[in-house]
Amino acid sequence: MWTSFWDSWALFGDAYLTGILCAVMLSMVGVIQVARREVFAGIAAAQAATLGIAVALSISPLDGDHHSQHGLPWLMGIGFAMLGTMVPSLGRRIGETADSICAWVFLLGASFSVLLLAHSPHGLAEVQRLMLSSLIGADRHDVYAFTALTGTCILLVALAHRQIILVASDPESALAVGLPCRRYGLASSAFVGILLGCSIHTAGSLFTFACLVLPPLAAKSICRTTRSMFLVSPLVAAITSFFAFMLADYYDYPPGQLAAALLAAMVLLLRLLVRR
Amino acid sequence: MTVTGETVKSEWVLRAEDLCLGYGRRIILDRVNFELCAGDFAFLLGENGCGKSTLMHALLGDLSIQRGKIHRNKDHASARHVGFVPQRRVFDESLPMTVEEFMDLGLIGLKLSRSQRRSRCAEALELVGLNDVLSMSLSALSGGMRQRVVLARALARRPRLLYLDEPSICLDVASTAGFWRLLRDLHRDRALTILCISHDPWAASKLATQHLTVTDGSILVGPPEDLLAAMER
Repeated sequence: MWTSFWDSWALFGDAYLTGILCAVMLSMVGVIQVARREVFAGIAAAQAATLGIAVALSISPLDGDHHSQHGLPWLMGIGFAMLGTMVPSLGRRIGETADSICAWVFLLGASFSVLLLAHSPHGLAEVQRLMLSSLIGADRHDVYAFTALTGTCILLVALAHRQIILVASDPESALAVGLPCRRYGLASSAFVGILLGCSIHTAGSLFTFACLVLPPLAAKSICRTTRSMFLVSPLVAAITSFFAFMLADYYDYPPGQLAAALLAAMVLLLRLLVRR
Repeated sequence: MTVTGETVKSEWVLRAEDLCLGYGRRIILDRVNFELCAGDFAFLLGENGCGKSTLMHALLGDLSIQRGKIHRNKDHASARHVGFVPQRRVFDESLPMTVEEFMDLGLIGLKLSRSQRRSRCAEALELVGLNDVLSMSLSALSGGMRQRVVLARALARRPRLLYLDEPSICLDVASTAGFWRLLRDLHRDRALTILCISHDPWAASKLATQHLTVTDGSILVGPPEDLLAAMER
């Protein structure tokens, strides 16, 4: 299995690296979403990003050379993902629950992204690729971009993990100690939106959502402090993704789905094994 | 302290002046005027949904004020001098957190070294009668102990002004009585200024030096006995 995986590295090395970097970055940000009790906002944002990419493709349809047309879909994906992450706070303002609004955004994104491109074969294939979570298209530029984004995440967590945890888990107390919660909330939504938009464009919505939510849930079972979740969650994500890619190569399964399935099994296993 | 004639008036800590609060076009509280002085133990009373939490959010800076002003004495009510005890239901008990980590989060913004933070936490826990719990998981504590930890986190900042938002909610009778006794002793010994939202009439009648009663979108202010007499009339 190892030899086969190593042999495939020459062809898919960039895709594997991009996938692992995505997993590390999203699983770190996912700790914030879990602490904010806004797990569902992640999937709403992921679907909103898919809609953004679909809107971009409907404005500027794809021709055969997909790589020359990254710009607009990328930007629209990020923009819509940012809007999607701000949805829960919007829900509170209009007197609706965050869950209901997230479900609405999810369904709007899922239906309109297909309807918009129903008569554009290339575009529809691209949206279906995003929903299927294929990492195959990732190239060296994606590796550089995700290295930079992951580095930024690590730096932010290292410098401000206490502030991040307090604002996410107990915003009223954060206000009382003088932290500008509204600005933190906006900045965090914008940052999560950027990461989700980039990740969905490259790795698809299932892999993105799985890495955002499942590693923090697994870490929650084994950690004694929220702070340590920022270390354990990316470790779980990286190791599981690596094994998922190896198994996917050997048994010829789609890597995104296999990684999501392994992570889901990992959460269940840890819940059963570790009783805090 | 300022001396006016024969009466000795403490220094003001917090002053609300013609305050109007609400969400969008919906006004919740209007023409709110009150003053808290150093050493006051004020209870904010009123029915559910009358605007007590709205006022607390405005005091914490979470709500934009539609009209009027909140004056904060910078020596008593700036962020570094404020302690806050939130409602118990705001905590996600499934989130892994030790008492030490929880307490440490309350010291953000004070520019203390790690060892200073640790000693402040231990000192505050001792003050509320809890020893050797720093390494314990927050979710392993009983409701009463957890509420003491929350109070200890606020006290670790060595506050001059303490806000409490329904601190006795979800506590059993014995824990509630113990909590109020602790708060009474702290108020007496440390000369804290306290503003507490509560539905507990016993505590309000026994502990308060001032009642702020929210009624019909405004606030009646006065010492407990005057206010009760006014309401009976």
